[in-house]
Amino acid sequence: MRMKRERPTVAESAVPMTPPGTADVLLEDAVRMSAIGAAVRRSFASWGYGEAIPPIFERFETLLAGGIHPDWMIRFADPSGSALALRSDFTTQIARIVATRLRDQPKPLRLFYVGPVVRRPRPSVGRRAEFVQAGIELLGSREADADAEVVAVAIDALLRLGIDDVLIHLGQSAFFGGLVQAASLSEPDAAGLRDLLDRRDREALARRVADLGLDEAVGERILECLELCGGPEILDRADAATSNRESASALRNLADVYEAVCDHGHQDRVAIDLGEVRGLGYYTGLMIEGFSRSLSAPILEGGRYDDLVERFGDPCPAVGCALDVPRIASILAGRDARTAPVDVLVHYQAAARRQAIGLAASLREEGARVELDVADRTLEQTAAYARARGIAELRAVEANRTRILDVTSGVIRGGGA
Amino acid sequence: MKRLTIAVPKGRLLEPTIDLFSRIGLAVEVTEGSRALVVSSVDDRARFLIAKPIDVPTFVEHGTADVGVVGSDVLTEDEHDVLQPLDLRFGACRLVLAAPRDATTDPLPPHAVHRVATKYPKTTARYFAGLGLQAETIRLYGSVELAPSTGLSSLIVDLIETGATLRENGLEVIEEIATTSARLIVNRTAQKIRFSEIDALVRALSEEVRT
Repeated sequence: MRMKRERPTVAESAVPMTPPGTADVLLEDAVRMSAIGAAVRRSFASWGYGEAIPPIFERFETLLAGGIHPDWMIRFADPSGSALALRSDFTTQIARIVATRLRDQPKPLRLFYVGPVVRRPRPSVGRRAEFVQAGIELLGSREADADAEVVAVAIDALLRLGIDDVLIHLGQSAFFGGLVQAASLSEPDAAGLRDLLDRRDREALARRVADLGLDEAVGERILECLELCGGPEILDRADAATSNRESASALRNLADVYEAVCDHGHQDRVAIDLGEVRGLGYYTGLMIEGFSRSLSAPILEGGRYDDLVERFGDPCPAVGCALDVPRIASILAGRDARTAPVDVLVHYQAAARRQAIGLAASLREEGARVELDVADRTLEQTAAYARARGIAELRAVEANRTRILDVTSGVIRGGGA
Repeated sequence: MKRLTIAVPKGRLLEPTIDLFSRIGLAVEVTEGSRALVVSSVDDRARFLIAKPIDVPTFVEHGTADVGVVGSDVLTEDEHDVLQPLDLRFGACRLVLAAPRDATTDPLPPHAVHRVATKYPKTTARYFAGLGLQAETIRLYGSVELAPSTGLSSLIVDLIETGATLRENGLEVIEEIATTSARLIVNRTAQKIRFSEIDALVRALSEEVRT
């Protein structure tokens, strides 16, 4: 029978809770989160990306330029009354930085960031208001090679984290854009079609296309977007179906990016998806979405945003993407065994403090994580503490001997000095 | 590859839903009165979760289920980020605004603040806002028809199949707000990582409901 853990009963009002949408990340979860942060920092740095650490809050107008809906932002005012908001998006901040402080840096410029973004939580969706993103931005190049590099850096980071079933979907925002432009649709009509395509509602989309009185060929092309998801053959299919220049150049770009991503060795990890029409308001070309087969939510999102930097005063084409760290952590949590935060606990008698500190220092030199037992208690009490914390090894230092206790088996070794 | 998981609604839509999936080759035996909430298809290709209708979109949005079946009334009330590729055409109902039949006065005077009892407060609020009328909605979870006769509200917004319950409770339809029917919904990520499987399922269901 499973033992039920006793919980103290405390009146709910007496428990100081964190605000809705937030959480304390603790113990092994915190270890995992920071390990992911450290690993992606190493991955990004190995591709020549340098870290940027923008502030946690910004002027509201700055963030507004980035296409995050104002309703999603956590806003407040400074003492003079000007509107501020917590960081809802890193890319907008990076765009501001590159248009201002780093405008004279030689391009292309490669930057990465790791940190929390804050967006108003949607109740019931199980999404926190605050979540960590780790992303890269490659600024100052329009080339498909730059798009492909961003995809490759992200895949590389995920593989190094142990997510070996990465699947990347590449879309192109200008493809559908070209179709509605060629049909000379009004903005609301185009938005209506985009909405139905976004829901993948074939019948309603067909009805709307008919109601709008679109040219039959144009209507067919819009409906065909629903099917345009799969391998590189999709590019040929789409090419055969398109006649407008913007869509055709979007497809050429996507083909170039795909080919370059294959040269990075990732042909089995990428698919083409022209039915994806969502994404942040600022994407102007390539759109990137990444998945692991073990999670029903994207773990990577990004794309090309050639107009965003210019909104802050200096034109600069750019492409980037961000990894969703909590979602990646949730995949890894299902895999790694629970690890204790400490390898060795050193217990000592008062007279043996100097030896104990010396022993702990030399064990740390060897790479162990070592905790000194600063509590005044017996060896038995310390052993019970080590067991409760999952620490495997306990060393008891006395003036003339050091004993090693295997905490799980209870076996004691040593006795000499 | 994991088995496909399909969330299906308990209640009036359950039988036609199970029947539809069996016609496209995903037969499942749900015995009357059984309390099992997870049932495998006969060929073991899919797994069915039997959930309360209002919870179906939640299972699908979170990816606990890859696809689901739910009434469009639920989808318009609570906005869920799920794909809605197909109208399954069964379970047709009407969402209506109803008032006591014997009312001699205008049931919708433009200056008044209308008290409306409903299971659909958000849809109701949107509807009244669209008419430019003021409304206070009172959320009920069942027997909405009770509200006018007991003085809880002057109007109700409710889903009706034939309208018999309304008539028996002395109510009549003033306006039809929407026609509803069962919809297929799909998890956004499942649609991408299992594209061909889900595309085939949607096509098979689409063929079936059209004939």
